[in-house]
Amino acid sequence: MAIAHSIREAAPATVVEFKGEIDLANSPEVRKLLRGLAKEKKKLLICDLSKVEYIDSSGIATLLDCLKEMRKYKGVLRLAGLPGTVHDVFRLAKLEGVFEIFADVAAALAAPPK
Amino acid sequence: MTSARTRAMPIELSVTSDPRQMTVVRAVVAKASGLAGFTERDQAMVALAVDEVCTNIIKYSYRNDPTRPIRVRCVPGPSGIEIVIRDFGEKPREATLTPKRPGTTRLGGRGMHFLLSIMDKVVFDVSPTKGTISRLAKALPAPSAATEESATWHNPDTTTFIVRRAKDGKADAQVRPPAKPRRAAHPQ
Repeated sequence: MAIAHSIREAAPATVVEFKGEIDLANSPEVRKLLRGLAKEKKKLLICDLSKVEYIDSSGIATLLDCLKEMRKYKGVLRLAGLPGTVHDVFRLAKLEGVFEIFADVAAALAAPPK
Repeated sequence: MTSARTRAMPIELSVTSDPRQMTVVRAVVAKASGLAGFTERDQAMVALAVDEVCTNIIKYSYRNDPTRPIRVRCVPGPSGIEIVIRDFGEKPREATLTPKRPGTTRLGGRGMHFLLSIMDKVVFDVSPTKGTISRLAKALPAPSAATEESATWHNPDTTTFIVRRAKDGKADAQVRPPAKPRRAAHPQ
């Protein structure tokens, strides 16, 4: 299954909405997209995962790669709207304390800086 | 689905090592897990475990050649599910069989942690002349631990994890002790 995405500005954030599966087949495409946004030095990037049906270890690695790139210039990456099965994978990887995870995009936008 | 849970029903699938085919493998494994009686959240977990085995096969055994065969056999039964994954590539190296510590920002090495946390028994049989036979098993959790609101997994250190290298199929390395009784969902 392909991964689709859309990007919108919601000052002060850039919101990327993904739809589909983030797996071994699609991770390179997602990584390229997120690296491009990090290269633009986005201050606050919110990944809306509410329409993501599946994520595997390669998808997790892709989001971690973006997190690390953004930390280099003190940018902030937030994840929003994780469906239950996707959230399970983050719990299993014990990454809930590594990523900033929010119930939805509105909550991610409203949250104060850490 | 009561009758479905009273006997084993093998389901077999042959795909190539093209990552785009893994979505089909996951769908079949999830459905097979459903026949065994796993909740939707646990079906997704079992599919993730099989996906991670296939990912290792694609990346390391077949070195990203998308044309090589992968066979998956699921046997849902009254007490859980058994899954056999067959490849004909290079044998896994010791480093790829070692789960990395979770909770870090390291990019790789989570697949084995996922696999051993989700499944109760994992056997990599590398004794065939070509390739590896990966055997996975997961028992249905106790009714009190299984809810639609959460998936079940456990400490990977309690998973039975065996690497069989001898040609007679006997285990020559048991890397993990036998699984202890299951704990509730989401142990930290």
